[in-house]
Amino acid sequence: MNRSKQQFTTQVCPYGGGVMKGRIMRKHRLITLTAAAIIPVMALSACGGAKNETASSTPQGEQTVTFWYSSAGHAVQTINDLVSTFNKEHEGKIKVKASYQGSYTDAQQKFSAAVQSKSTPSIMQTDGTSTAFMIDSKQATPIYELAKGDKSFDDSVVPAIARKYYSDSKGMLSLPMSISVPTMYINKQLATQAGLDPSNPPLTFDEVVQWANTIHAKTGAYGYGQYMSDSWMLEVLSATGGMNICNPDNGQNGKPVTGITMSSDLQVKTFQKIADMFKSGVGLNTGTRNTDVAANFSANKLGIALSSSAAYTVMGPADNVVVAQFPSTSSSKKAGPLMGGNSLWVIKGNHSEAEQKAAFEFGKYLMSPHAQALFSKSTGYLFANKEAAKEPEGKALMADPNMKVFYKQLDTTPLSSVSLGCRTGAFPLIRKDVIASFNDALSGKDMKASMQDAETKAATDIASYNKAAKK
Amino acid sequence: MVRRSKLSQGLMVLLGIILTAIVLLPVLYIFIGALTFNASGNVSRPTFSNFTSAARSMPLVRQVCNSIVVTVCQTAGQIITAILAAYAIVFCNFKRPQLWMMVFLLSLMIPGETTILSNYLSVTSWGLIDTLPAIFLPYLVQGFTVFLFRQAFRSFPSELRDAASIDGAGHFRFMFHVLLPITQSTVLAATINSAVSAWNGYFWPLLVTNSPESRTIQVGITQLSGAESSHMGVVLAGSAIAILPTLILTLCFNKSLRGMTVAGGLK
Repeated sequence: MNRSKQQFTTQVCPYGGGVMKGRIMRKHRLITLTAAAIIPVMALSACGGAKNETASSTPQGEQTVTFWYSSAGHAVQTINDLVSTFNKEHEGKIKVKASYQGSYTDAQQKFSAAVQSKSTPSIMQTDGTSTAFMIDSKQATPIYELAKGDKSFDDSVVPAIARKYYSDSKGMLSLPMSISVPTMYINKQLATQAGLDPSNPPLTFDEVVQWANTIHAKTGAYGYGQYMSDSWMLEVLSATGGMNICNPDNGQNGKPVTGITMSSDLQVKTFQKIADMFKSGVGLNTGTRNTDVAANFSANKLGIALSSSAAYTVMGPADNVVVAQFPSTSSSKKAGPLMGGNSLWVIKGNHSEAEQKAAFEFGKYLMSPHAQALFSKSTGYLFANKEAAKEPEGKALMADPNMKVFYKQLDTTPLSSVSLGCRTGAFPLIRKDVIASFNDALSGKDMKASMQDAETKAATDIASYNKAAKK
Repeated sequence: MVRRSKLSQGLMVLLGIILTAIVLLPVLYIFIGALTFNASGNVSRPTFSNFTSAARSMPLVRQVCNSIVVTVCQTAGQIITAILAAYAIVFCNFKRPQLWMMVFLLSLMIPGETTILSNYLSVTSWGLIDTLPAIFLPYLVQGFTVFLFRQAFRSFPSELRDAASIDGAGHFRFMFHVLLPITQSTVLAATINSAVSAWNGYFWPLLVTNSPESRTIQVGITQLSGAESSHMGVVLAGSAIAILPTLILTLCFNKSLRGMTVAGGLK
């Protein structure tokens, strides 16, 4: 076939023939292509709306419950085991499908998208600080509604502070699944090497600083390390100083939060002590790598670590770890360390009442003593059900004197707005602002100015959140 | 070639080794850690126990297969559509080829985060949630790849084009027998680029899948690492499995990857 150069340059795609025929061909092709493009799109949109099922009842009446969780690491195997045990016990009646959804933040974003596409799960695990977000989203059915008339549910087995944390004035809103408390880990070897007695741990933050300096001076290891990937530790240190970090009343009295307090004298003084320790080399600044705290502690390179009880399983070796009550920064009666952890929310959405009740059954199962004991054993979280201490696994855990310290701290925390911590849906924004300002201060900026900066930024962020949440 | 003394040659080799070590260090850390680390990151005897632990907590092999399927489909889609689009823009005489190119370039200017939610709603309404096609469907075409090929094709000598047409080659014959063999480095570079980004996708696969069996490896390994506590060795084992294929790909096609920076210049 001999095609002339002329044809190639004057036609779109040559099919033989003259220019005129080429033009008609072109128009033909255009119409064909357009039609070819539109038809699949129309077909696909016709498919829409047909598959919006979230969870359905199978013909035999088995209720499917979808469970979204964010626990990772050691917790995953335990959750899978608990889910298969539950499914076996409730075979034919309830079937739970559990799926990991990334970090709490990722899961929350996915949840927000799922609300719009009406594909929310039946029951969802969120962390404690997202309590206000879930309340504001109005997507969850409160537990006190589901528990009406249910004799098997007794919320007095929940530790008092956890019960209050996840309730409002009418009753419990979500089921606490696990609890963590901030705590202080002391490296026995380094402490004794420095001439200090780990069985008489420091009680105030000033004493902690003294211990840190001594350990560093006598052994050369770092004296102090803390959880640094967000501002949680700064909030805890404020709480143990008797301060409400959010105004008004930490958002615990029904009124929405409008601002934060981070630049009071007590807070600035405490934060400055941390900054000084980092600067002088006594303290180890691990930035966003929280695992470094455990790694250094276990390698006997870190003497005192302020972290979470959930890190207990990776602080090793076991006989070298002494757990002590979180240090206080003042002697106020309202003061107490904040608790953390996660809870289970039964989602309303377009889930039937039968499904919500089934989800509540599963939630109750996860809160049962046996499940709680297993979960605590594999994760280091504390029981959300006091009865779990009577289970064989629970008894084995409680035999450890370090665990007893965690529970004592949990039980003796006063039920004040200070120790309940801030309740606002804008928590992630606040944390981002505060830790950014704290890092500024660590790089040399004045601490008080940085914290005031954080307060201003947080106030703007909170205002935009409140506007979006129509508060 | 510049003649160098033995000493300066030796120094260059030493410098090369040091730079290589610095770049390779994180990768070495992952593999050594996966084999030797225990729960808190301290070294113990080399063992495969971390890999078996990782495989126990999630369907590892299935997820690697999922990742491979998604990567192959996504890369194939992007490369084929990009070659065809760039060919049409450069070689089929459009009145305003720049306009068509602008359409593709506009897609580059829209950040991915803005389209994620609407894509999610579309995928949900089509009932594709928790399936593999949902993961690669929105990414079957990529504006950047079109741009890459268009640049490579533009610098293709027109004399060769004319010679081929005189010899009677139609579009497809020209493309497969003349154009692509010559722009091979661009094709390889674009393929590797697409493959690596397809392999590394995290948030979108997390969003559209629910069950562990339909997830990709990148989502799967995040399950190994908890916020406050995790088994360092197992986390590194998961990471090792996740980076292995892209590592092999990069090592095998090293030369072509370097060629990507000169994709525009054919001479």
